Amino acid sequence: MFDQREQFEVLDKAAAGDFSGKILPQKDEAKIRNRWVMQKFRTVLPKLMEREGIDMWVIPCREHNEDPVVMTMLPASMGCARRRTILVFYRKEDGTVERMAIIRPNTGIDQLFDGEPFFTNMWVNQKGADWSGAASFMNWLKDNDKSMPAEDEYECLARLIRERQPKTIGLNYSDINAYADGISYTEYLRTMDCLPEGYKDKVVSAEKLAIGWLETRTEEEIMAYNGIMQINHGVIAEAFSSRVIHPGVTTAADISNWFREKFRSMGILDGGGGVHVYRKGVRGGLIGDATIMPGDIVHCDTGFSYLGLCTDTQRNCYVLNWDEEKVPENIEALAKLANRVEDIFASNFIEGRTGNEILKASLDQCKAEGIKCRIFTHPIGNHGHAAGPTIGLSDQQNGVPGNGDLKLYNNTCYSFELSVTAPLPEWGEEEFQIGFETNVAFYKDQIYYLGGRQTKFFTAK
Amino acid sequence: MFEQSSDNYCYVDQQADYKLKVLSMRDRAALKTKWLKERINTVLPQIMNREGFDMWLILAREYNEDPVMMTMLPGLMPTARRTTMIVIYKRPDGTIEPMCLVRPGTGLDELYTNMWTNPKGSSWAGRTNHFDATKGGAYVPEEPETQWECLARVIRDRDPKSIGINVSEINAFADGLTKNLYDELYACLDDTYRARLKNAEKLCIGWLETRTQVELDAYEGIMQIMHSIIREAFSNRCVHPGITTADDVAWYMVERVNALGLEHWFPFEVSIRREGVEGMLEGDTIIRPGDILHCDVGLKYLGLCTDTQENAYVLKMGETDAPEGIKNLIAVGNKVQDVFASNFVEGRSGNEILKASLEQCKEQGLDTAIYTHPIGNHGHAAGPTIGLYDQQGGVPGNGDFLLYNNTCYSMELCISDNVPEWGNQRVTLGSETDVAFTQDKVYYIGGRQTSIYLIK
Repeated sequence: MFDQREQFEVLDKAAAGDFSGKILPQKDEAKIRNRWVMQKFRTVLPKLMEREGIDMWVIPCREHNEDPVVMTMLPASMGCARRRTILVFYRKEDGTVERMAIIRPNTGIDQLFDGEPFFTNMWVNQKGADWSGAASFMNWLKDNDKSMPAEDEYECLARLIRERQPKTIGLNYSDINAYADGISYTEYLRTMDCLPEGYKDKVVSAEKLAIGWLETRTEEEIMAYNGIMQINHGVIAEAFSSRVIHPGVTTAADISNWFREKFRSMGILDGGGGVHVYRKGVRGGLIGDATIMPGDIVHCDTGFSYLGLCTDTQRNCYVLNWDEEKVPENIEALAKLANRVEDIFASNFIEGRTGNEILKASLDQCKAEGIKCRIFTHPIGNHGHAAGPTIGLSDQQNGVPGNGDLKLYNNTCYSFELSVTAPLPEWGEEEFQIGFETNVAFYKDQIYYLGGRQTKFFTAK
Repeated sequence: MFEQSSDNYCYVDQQADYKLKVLSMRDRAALKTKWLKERINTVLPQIMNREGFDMWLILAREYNEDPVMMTMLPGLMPTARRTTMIVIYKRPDGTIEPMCLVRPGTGLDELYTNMWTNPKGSSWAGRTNHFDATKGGAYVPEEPETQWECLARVIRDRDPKSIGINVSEINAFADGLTKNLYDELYACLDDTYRARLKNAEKLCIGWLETRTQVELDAYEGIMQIMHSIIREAFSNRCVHPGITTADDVAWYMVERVNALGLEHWFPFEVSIRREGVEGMLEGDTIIRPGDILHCDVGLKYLGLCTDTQENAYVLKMGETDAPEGIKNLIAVGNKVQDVFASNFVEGRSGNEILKASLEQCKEQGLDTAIYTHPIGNHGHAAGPTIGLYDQQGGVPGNGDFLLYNNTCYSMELCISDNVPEWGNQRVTLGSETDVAFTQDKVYYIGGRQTSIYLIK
């Protein structure tokens, strides 16, 4: 395995948190996101539809009540669905996928990228639409094709189905996975109602297709993820230093708030971080107004979303006492212990295994080595707690029925979230427990630590 | 109607420097929780009474949330956690019992009592005490329960007569229940309670559209921020005729909103009307002297959205003012707004307001189309739709909802008139201004555009 150093070690520490030259203006970010979605349509979607045996995927939703899958498929400039929006994917005999939309005109869904539209709008003669009067200036009137019969959205869908005669129709409903359960009860009834004769029994759950779409990263996304994680690590490196931590003054909530403001100042609105303080003689973590003191361990759980990809990482810092030069041995050993669990865990990532199989093998091996730990690892990608195999939950160490039974595929990313428990004699603790979390890519059958992993404690004084 | 200053937002600081006014992320989160608590205690009893429900179920899953649930989570909880259930019960005495069924440690119990105190299959051994499911003080059953078993118990114990679920053919906001969650809910209930499940459409809309007094008060200052950004963008600080494109101006405003740490909830649009050109020009078109610039922009701050269209004129060399025919377009828009506002009468439906307004405009010779939507927690929000650009004859369903006090709308419309200076070219111009309907009157939030911006 590629031995990675924590990347921020090679950054100029003084400028650790300064990413002003790297984070793109919104306009350029939108361009990259569009490019990535189009690449994913071309390269990922046809393979997934073949793998899951679905030749038509129908995704109906409504504005501000969107299916989570739809939100990862729209051009960046669209932001959300418009009124009712139905996306239809049809895998043709030649293996290519036709991308269609049923939506009102002039939404931007049919915008060109490299000369190719995101989606072709198939609803060309909207029943009940009246373009007379002052609003006729809206020059998308001409898109209406009056040679077609006037249809409502579902009559249009029925026509597309009749014309293409798919063998299976995938809909997003799922009892195990939230991401694959985007169809509302009403849209489900409307869809079933509109189907032409003989198609009702061709409807299947598109659960695995939805998960596959969300979890699979393109080559460019994986390559870019490293630099996205560096931003998160750099911000933590700044927080976990004497530039932010003022022992005797700074509270846990102050640092938590600092993370949010830092991300906000970088133009990232949904970033944040929770902070816990662990202290000799105190059971469990302190939060909120607890003032950080020398000798404390400060733990953060931070993340943000940039370029449509999320980060989620837990790091630890030790606040040196006045007479200390370095982190006490047994505290530093916690990071090494976590690294060992990560090594064992990473070695069990084998394509085709389920999350539960990886969990069991890893926990068994840790137990055999006498390591006490918990593993509660989740996929990461377009969402923080993302779609894909769940590998343990904090309260379910024996496996997770459903989401834990999903299989591991290449080109997917995970947030290695775990905790280790070890004696801490300096603090008189038999069983001190602490969490670590680091994001990884499973790529070419190997685990890569995105932006590196924490191998030793940060220090502040 | 409140008489507002006729010069455009004279109170707006042209520097667009709102950095010190915009709250820190910490204060925003605290305010969100505070406002929500007030909404639970004041808005909920009122609308549950009005619509005849004594229980409301809002069921969703993390990252696939019911749009209503997203407005019911405390400030520090940006999403649901795994399967999340909010149960609102109106007690016989009219007070609200806010409950949730969720795993411990989510923060939801800041506002809702967590009823799921003994989850089946969960082990929290060795965890710190903030994962203690029982700390909210709710009853702890001896036998562990699944989440659905717990929900069935909570319902049985209260025996509600009318249980609202979010299923709606008409309104997207009231249709947040997924097919699978519906199936699971149905399976966990016995026939008695299955028969009491009702479409909570009007509850959802009432919850989303009703603004508290403090929200109304704060809306004014939120709009001012957007107006000042438009004013800056529609000036020679941003527009360089011969160089700047329509898209450049749109992205300029996006960046200004982002720099303040606020969200732009939809893609900003800037378009150009030009002498001799039919319709509008967009995208990479370079702005020239003599153009009319039009923008459609909106931000979200403190959970409230804005949506505004305004217009500017790019002066030609030697010109000190816009041609009269162009200034007239703004005046015609204001006349339509006046007619429209006078038809906001509580209890009327969106379609009734639309019909009356369009008829009166026609009588006055005003050529207009009205496509006005509610605004609030969402941009195109829940409530009565008053026209759609392609449905000027009324909107079945969403147009049939009734107008209530303490709700807000984005008065979106366009007007057409001839511009003599452009060889009598017929020009259509859009305008959009956010209003509050409160105490039976329409108020222009942050004022309205009454004269065209001039760009030198």
